[in-house]
Amino acid sequence: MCLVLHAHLPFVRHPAGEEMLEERWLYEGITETYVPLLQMMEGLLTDNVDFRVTISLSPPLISMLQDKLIMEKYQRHLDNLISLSNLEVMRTEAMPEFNYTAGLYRNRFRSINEFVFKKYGGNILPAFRQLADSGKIQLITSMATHGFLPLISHQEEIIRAQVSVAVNLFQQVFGRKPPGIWLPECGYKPGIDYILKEFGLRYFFTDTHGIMYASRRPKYGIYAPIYCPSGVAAFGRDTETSRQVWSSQEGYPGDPDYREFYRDIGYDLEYDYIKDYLPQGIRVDTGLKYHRITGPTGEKAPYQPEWAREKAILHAGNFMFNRQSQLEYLAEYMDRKPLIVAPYDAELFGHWWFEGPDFLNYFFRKSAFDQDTFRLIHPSQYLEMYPVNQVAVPNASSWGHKGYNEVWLEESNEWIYRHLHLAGQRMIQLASNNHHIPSIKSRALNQAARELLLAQSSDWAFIMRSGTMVDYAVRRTKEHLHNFTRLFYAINEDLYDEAWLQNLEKDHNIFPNMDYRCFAR
Amino acid sequence: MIIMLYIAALILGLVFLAILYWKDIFSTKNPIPRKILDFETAEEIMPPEFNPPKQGPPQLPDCYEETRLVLLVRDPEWLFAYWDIDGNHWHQLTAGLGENISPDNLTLRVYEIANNMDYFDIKVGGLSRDWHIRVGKSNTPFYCQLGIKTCDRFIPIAISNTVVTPRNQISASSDEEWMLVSDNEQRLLKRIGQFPLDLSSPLNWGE
Repeated sequence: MCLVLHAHLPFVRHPAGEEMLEERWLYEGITETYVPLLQMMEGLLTDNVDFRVTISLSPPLISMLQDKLIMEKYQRHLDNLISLSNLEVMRTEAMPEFNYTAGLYRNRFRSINEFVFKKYGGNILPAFRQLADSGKIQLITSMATHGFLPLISHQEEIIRAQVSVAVNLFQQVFGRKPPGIWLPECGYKPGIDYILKEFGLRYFFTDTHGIMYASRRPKYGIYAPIYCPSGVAAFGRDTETSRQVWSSQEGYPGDPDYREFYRDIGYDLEYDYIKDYLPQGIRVDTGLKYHRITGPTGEKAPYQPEWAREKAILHAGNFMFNRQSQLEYLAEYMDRKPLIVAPYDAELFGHWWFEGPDFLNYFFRKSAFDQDTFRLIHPSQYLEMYPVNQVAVPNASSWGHKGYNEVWLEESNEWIYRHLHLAGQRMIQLASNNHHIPSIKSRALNQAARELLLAQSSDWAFIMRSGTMVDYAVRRTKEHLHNFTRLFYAINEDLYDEAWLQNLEKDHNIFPNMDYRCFAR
Repeated sequence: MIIMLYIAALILGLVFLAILYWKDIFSTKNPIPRKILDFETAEEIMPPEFNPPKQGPPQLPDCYEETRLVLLVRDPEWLFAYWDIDGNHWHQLTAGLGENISPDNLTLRVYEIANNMDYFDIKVGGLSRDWHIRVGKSNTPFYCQLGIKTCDRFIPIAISNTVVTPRNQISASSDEEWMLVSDNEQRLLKRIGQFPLDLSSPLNWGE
């Protein structure tokens, strides 16, 4: 069985003086998902539990995690949380049903602070690296700015740029080449794999119908990978396994004993009490929540951490048992060992589903000690075991709603492509026609490349469709495209506004080693 | 009398308590209804939108002064096309065509790339710059032309790229092809190295 966690957040970086709500995405990700997962996995390592999980870290996330300004802001955010949790422990002194939970939060935030700033000096990427060195996790990359390839790749060079920038960053940060790649939103279109092959990437993932509806019937269904004609392997998501975790009706996260996401003290408590801990006094999620799901609607009862923990153990056991039965059944009908691929957004574990990291903890431990029906492995290990696989062209598909491109190509967001494609064409032109000579021109070229990549982020189109934070997504798209266009004209006319360029370089500083020639023909 | 005082004191006491705990009694917060995760991807971590930008975002042009037609796939049965027409180009094309030609004649002709090259027309008119096209056929290549349609002819202005709609069912093709991908082959080939083709054969030894 192959467990895959895809960790990604869009690149959000605003100058020191500004406080944008969107920066909280990263703070919440670190506090609620990435650190709890890292701590959990380090615990497994210490206890000699044999586990395997493939983790994709998107380049924008990597860039933010190693950015000094962003992590300084995070430190302040975390200090704020610790102070709030202290206040909460005092406030709930006479409320036993909440006080224990408040204490838990305080301990958590302190422990996260220790982990991020004392143990790892403000950069948690080495923690991932060490786990990768142990062989327990396999790190893979994703596209440079998580671009949704089926729609932005009007030119092949766009794909190449997104891949090459991602691979370069991965190599820089982790000192090795990524063995595989997570296609953003599992967005695949035939042809992408040829470019993946150019960079030595051996595998990627698609949704179930990416494999099932491939050009030839897959003999093993989704229970083994197929090779694209290029030789790159495609692994298909297993719906049965996904449903148990993702489904809002049948999935584990909806259990009544788990923590209720939508009862946060940022909204529930007296304004005067909490306002100092709210950004600009605006009510937002703080991460301190005291209620459990209890039922589909109506009153929410207080959260009982022990009950939730018991449930997580129960669900982990159930999840493991189901995988055992599933694999036993499949093995009877296959002449090789069947593989289940279970990919999830990392943020599901911890942020949306508070008990998620605990669930994984128990699942890993139980799988290691309480059964011997299946093993957890990395995709590359399966390819080593079975280097001969069926050839077929995977179906163009995605794991978005309805399975194709609709999520990113509808009323709210279809307008972006005419701009993105033209900008892409212009960037390819610029890259192909300009020799690299360190100068203000090459700085402008590199910044133009950055602005285009940032505009290509699939997050903006997704957010526009989702209807929340739309203004921010529209603004980011328009700003990056506008910056790109201005730089395009500046380069063509050889006329530069150095102060403006310098500002852009300072604020939109993703990929410091950018080489615009990644866009060349 | 005393009883009345008692009652008054009780009422006053209750009122006093009510004032103290007013908020807790009367402002029970309705829990925000649970969002249903109705699709298989996680929503991005999103606090509600409150931060008004200091000034509006920069405006992007409505259209670009170059003629182009781009076709995108939405799903197995739908395509999406967008276009731009260079004003000069339009004038050049329509100059010799007469007064009947207006942007309303603008038509999108969608071709199925097959033996017959079947096509259908969509009158898009001068005000649109994009269109969702229902082709209804999965696993089929298409391309389109944007042109001026008159009663007797179709004058193309722009031609699009080709796209193929994805499949929405399991392939009927069950012939199997298998591939070995491993580093071993590379190692073996490296070992063999270059081999000359004109090496003497044993038959030539005597000469």
